[in-house]
Amino acid sequence: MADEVRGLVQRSLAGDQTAMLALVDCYQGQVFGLCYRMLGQRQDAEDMAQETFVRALRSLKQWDSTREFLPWLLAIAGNRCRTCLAQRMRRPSTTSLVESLADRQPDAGRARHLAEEVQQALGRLREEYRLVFLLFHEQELSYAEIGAALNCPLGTVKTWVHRARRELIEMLRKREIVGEVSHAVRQV
Amino acid sequence: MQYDKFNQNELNCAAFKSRLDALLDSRRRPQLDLQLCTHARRCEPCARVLAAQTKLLEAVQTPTRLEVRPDFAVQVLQSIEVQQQQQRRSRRRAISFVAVAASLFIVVTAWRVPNRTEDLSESDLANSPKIPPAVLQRMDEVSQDIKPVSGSVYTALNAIWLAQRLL
Repeated sequence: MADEVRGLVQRSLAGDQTAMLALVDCYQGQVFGLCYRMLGQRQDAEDMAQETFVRALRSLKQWDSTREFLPWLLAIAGNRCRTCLAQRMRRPSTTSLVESLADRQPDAGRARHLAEEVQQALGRLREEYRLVFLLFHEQELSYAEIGAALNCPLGTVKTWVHRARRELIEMLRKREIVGEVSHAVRQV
Repeated sequence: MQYDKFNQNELNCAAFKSRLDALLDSRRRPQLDLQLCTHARRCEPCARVLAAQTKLLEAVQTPTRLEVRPDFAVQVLQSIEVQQQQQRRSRRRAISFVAVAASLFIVVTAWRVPNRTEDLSESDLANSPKIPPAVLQRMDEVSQDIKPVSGSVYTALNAIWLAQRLL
């Protein structure tokens, strides 16, 4: 996979549009997923995902080919999302921060409700906490990769992820989403 | 803290939280850890934390079925193309601006320098402080050195201006 990506990057640098398309196709799900979780709105998430790829493809020369491509790309996405959030803070908005997934997820019920609550709780987290939490738990990057991508000490990343987890739990508990003791734990 | 209730092999609440963090950091499932579950069976708050963490991570790791529009990749390439065109246009505009500014500067300078000398009367020239001949000679030498350079700059600017016109 890594060699394949390196090949695509080389071809993209040479101006091969097919390689660029393949590169976007390969990572669009992960980038869009992160943007959606960070921003909570589909339209903004699509715009930021697009900006992420535009920036990445235009600055492919800056990618260190000895490192993984995805953390570098997700770091760009994270920065774009933070810029978008900063802009959103400056302009008053009448739309809700978190978009309902009801019309997009056919299987209604508790899972969807929980997903929405988690999304709302994520929206209330500090941006840095949200970003590192998503990079670690959703995108499954390692602490070292996150630290390198965000230019942050590893210890800081770890602390942020831990705080993010605790704050999320606290928020969900306040909303009475995760109050009860799980049956699975009781049975062990 | 409910440590007093437990025997020494069991975790206290602080150790429970550290262990939980360590397991989550290494992407292992905390609900399968015997020590954590033993503690959680006896400690209601920690059991809640464990259940909540499990639920939270399940929700986060469940793929959101949202997909980007089918022409997303094509739109990315289109927007790169648009940006490149804009960049080319603004670069051309900047070069044109510099060329025009330089041409104006040269024209104004060429127009002002003779005028200034013409404005000076004979008496002004006579009353002006005398420049030592050595300085005058040095100025001559320097102007001889500068001539080809200024000539080439002028030619280059004209060439840029012409190129802009042709583009």
